[in-house]
Amino acid sequence: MSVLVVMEQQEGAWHKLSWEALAAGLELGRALGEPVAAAVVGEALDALETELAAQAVERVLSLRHPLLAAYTPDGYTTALEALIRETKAAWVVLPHTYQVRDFAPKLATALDCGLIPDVIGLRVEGGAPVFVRQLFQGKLNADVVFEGPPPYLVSVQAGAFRADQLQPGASPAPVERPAVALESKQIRTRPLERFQEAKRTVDLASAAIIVSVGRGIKGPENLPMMEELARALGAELGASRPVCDSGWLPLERQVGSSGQTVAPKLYLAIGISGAIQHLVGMKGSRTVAAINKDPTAPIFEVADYGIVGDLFEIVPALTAALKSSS
Amino acid sequence: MLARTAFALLLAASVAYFVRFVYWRFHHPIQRVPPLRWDHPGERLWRVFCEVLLQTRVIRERPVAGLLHALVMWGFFAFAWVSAEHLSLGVRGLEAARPSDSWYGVFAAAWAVAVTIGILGLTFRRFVLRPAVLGPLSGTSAVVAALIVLLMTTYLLGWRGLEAGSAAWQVNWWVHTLSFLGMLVVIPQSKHLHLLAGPVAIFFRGRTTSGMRALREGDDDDLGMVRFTDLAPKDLLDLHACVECGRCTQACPANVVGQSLNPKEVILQMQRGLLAGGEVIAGTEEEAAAGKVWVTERDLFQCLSCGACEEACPVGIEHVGRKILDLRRGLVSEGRTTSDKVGELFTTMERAPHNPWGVSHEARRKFLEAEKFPFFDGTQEWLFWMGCGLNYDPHGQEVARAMRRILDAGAVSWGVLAQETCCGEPGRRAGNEYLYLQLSEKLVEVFQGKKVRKILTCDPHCARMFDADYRAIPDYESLGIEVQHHSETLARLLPSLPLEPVREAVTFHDPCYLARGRGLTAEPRAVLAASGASLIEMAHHGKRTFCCGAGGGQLYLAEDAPGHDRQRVNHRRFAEAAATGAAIVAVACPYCPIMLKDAAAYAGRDDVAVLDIAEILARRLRAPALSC
Repeated sequence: MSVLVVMEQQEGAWHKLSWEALAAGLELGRALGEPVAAAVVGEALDALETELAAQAVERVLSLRHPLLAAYTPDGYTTALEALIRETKAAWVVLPHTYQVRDFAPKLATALDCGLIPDVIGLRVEGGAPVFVRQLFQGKLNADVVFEGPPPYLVSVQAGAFRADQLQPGASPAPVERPAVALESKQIRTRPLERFQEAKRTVDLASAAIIVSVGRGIKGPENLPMMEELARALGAELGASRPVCDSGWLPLERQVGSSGQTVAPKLYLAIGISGAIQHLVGMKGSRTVAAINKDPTAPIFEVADYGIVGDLFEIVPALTAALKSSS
Repeated sequence: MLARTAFALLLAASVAYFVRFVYWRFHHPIQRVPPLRWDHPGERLWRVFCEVLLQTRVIRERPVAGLLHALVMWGFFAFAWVSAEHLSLGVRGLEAARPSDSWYGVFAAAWAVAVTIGILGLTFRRFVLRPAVLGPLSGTSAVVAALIVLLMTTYLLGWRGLEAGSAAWQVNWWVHTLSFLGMLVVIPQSKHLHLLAGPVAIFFRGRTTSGMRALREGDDDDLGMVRFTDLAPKDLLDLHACVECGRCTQACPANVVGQSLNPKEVILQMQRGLLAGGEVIAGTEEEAAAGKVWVTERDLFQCLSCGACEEACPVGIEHVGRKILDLRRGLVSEGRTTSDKVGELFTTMERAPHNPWGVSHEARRKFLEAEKFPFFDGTQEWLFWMGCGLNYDPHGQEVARAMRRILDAGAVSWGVLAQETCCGEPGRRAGNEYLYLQLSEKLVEVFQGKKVRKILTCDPHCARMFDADYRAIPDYESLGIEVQHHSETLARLLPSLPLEPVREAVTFHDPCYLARGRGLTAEPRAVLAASGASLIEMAHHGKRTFCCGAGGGQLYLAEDAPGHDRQRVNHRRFAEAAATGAAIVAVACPYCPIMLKDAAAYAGRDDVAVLDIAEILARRLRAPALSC
């Protein structure tokens, strides 16, 4: 009844969600008292194998094949199906990435087993794991358990498990390279060149904390004050459209319908009135705090915490308080 | 005898050439649907009288050039009898010539002078002043100008300068004749075909701007305008009516702020493609560069669908609903759009809760609950359709509050739907007909179930959908629903409202879909006047209003991020409003304040308030007397 974590890599670089999947797999293994193996799929994987072997896993299973160099649903499913059957892994944990979303249902169908996608937590009750996933746009949590014989597939949501608390293993785990039986005729899709989205110099979308400024900061000369607060919070700096239109901050820092869509854990809106086209860009934020001199500003409708007052008094005080507490 | 034969042959050849060329320009395999519009014939004839005979539009848009043009055109009418007599002389023989002594000769001579002044003025403008909007110099314009000057001077010479019947007179007669026949040759192969096509296109033009057609019933191949064979009769007329004056381009907000969309070039490119035997009309810039298509996707998706081009056009061309939006629909239906923003808008609208912002119903539900809005159950007279702007935008919700106060003060029986989805407007304008059909089908079911008879909305875009686009859906049309924009409702309620007007300076930004799309400019002004507003008009007002930048789905597309290389439409419009000095910019659409407030923040003008006419009116309502 072992646990198998399927890591995701692309062109020799880990998808960072893989580490969260590994954390989930290790947590499950500990709770069940079962060994945990980690698998990686690709072609040239030497560096990745070594890196993975340093983790507290029982062994690393490396599926290497020229036909696995680029992702194809047929190739990945065929290779992983054989591996799961061979190792008799009972619990297969995957990161809930776009790629996994693509092939996991196919893999579950091939194995004729269940798949619980996008889980945010797990616990073991009476020797059987219970997985938690969200319903109704996160309004409800549901406990889900598997029925029937193994294997069982689970994919984990980004941010649900702590990758930063992974501990290296006592000694490097053995790396095994099971033979992969794969022929080109089994693969029906032909991957073309990877589409590269225009590189954003600032990735607000993945920022955990954002300090966002509006025209209420009066002028670009007040930006250093805001940047200092952002530094104290470990936050990225965002802005409303008028601020970027005025050229006070570059356009890639713009949050809203014509800028970036963000979903940080904390969104601090400073001097932002909260026009609809700004709100739609940050409505996914976990917690919203707003500072505005106008108590009727619409931003307070969506804010969890609000301070009505002069931002030029509040921001330095906030920065000082943050600095003294840390 | 020889002269008479030569004249007859030349006349026959010219007429044959004329007919052949007109036939070549108009004979194309096109659709019969939608047919030419014959509704409201009286209004249409009156329109032709004003715009063709009185040249109202030509003069309104460009007074000097317009008047010069009018002199030429009126002169042509004055010359109809002169020309008939002139040609008849060719048939009868030149020896029948008599010195002119009729009053009509004097009248025509006066016009000959006027026409000469007109055409020389226009020629000076075109070839010396060379306004950029006219485009590259046109050879045919020079030829036509020369022919007209020849016609006029030879007339004047023949009338008084030369002895009737003399050799010199005969030479003069022939020069006049050849000039006349030359016109028959030049007209059909140049923009001067507008002489014929223009008045007809004006007659058949839609009563409001930016109207889209319904897809052809039972024709599964109709995905919107894709190929030149998708043109309808009015489109063909439009393409050949274009006189290349560029009034449309000058009026186009996208073009004015420096975007690449040029409505005149859209029409001319379509005309060139049609005459060159092109197949597909629109595609990517690469396809256009390779000569495979004639109009680019990039230009089409810059359109605000505001209808300024159609309003400015002196020859009745419908650029927007019948061409640009229909071409977008063709691109989207065939999956040939490359814009991520367009795809994002569609994905957001396709998903529950089906609004273009993707905001949860929860926000609206909380608002309705807190405000205790009555729900429509079929017993009330009016369904107050809030639309996405009033449902989700914080400022829109303020407008909804104001409407509530006014409707209650006016004892109107009203209610709102417990759940609203988008009516499909941004989707349809951006080209996604399927999305529109899905959303409208659901809504029509709701209207049927709730027994809706009258709809009131603050959103002229929604009003346009329910009063025009939806009417092509038989199940909706059979409900016989009356639609009012709130400016109409408020104007109607004015006498019954307890008002305390307060005098304040206000400028009014006419929403495109109200002024041009619905033809209403007086109602919102009546509401403002009753509130005490003293109106300061912007240069672009009424039907000549300038878009706020939100129309045609642009509020959501807003794909204008890269660089600060050009002005934004909303910044330009706000600057015009702020220049009036009024502290209040009144609007009557939920999208305009989003754009104008954004521009106000950009300009650092928090002293200028952007308010809906309902908010302005509600502030002037006398507080209800407290009852014990």
